[in-house]
Amino acid sequence: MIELKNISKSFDDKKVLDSFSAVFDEGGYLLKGPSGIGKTTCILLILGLIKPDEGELVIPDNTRFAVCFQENRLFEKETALTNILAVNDNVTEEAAKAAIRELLPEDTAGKKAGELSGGMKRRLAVIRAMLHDSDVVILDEPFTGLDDASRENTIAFIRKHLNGRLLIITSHDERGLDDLKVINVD
Amino acid sequence: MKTKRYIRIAVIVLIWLAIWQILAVVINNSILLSGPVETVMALISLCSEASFFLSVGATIGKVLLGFLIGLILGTGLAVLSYRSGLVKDFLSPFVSVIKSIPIVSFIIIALIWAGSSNVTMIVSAVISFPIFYKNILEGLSVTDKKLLDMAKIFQMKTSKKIRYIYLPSLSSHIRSAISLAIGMAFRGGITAEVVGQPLRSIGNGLYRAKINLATSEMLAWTLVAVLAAFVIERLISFIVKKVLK
Repeated sequence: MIELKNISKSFDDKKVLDSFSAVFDEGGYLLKGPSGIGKTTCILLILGLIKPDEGELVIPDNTRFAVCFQENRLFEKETALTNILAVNDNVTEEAAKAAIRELLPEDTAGKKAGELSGGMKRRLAVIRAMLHDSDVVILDEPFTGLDDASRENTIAFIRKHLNGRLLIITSHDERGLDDLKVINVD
Repeated sequence: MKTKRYIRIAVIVLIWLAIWQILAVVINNSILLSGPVETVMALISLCSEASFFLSVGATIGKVLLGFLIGLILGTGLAVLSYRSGLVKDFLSPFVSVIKSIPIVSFIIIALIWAGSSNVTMIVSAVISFPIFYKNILEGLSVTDKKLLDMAKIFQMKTSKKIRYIYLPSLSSHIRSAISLAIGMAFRGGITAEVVGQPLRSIGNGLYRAKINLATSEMLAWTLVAVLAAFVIERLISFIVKKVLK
């Protein structure tokens, strides 16, 4: 279980989160709210990449995370396949290629990440996160730049590879995510 | 396109050689300035002696060893400085002093402490060290923080972080450090040899040519030093390029 208790966070005197509380127990959660409201800040706090100004974060020790960052954070000069294998030691080349084939065209595995379109990079970042051996999967705006068909495929891919892990998705668009528990960030 | 470029370089080199030859003819004093033909003749004459190759080999070996020590020390301490602000602050005055001390002072100190046979290596190391330290530290400090955060979350192995994050970020810094350090190490190392006079060395050859007023021989030794630095720099850069690819 992950718990945020009365978290406040400001950047350059601008308060992004003000006494925000949330509990992520099990299953899937949708962090909802308009752009700039603080969804990504919540994610970065949970990941421990930023510290809260006030409040408390309760995260069990040794919790392993997998994440799809809003900015992808791929190795642009490496192939799609390498991007997955570089951070997933327990994933075989065949499994990675098969996962790529589920969401992207056949020949994507050998292409450099920097040569892929925005939507393809997004899906690659999702694949990389979903294949990672973790307790919690966090996907920050995973459907940005995807058309409706790609979005549907990506949602199906996430469900298929979740394997009972805790899922936290940020999105301002709920379509296809009706079964997730909604937490409004405001 | 490449052939055109090579032809252009060859023509430029030939023009400079012609200017050199014309100057030598105009001055008409081989002690003041020997022409390219005399220099090449002197080089051919030097090549007939086995000691010439031993000298060139010894200088290259010692400069390379010093360069390698500078690379290892510079890289190692840059990594430590990157990881610890305290180490960085502690080393900062040391590196600044090393960079500003006249090279001749190092040569004299090295001669007193380690003798003439080690002076080339020590001076090459002292010259290379701050170049690698500064460049590697700069490369590390501009490494993509977001990728490092990603690597932390995904618990990437250190070897993979080096391969996929640090080396691509350091690549251009390493190449420019190598290019700068190897040339400087050769210049400093040979200067140390001229002062310290270790037997069988390019510096010793230069010195003997100078006291014999054999300008063509001196220029031949200089040519060898320049060529050695050029070839070694290209060779190392080629290897590094392949490794970092």
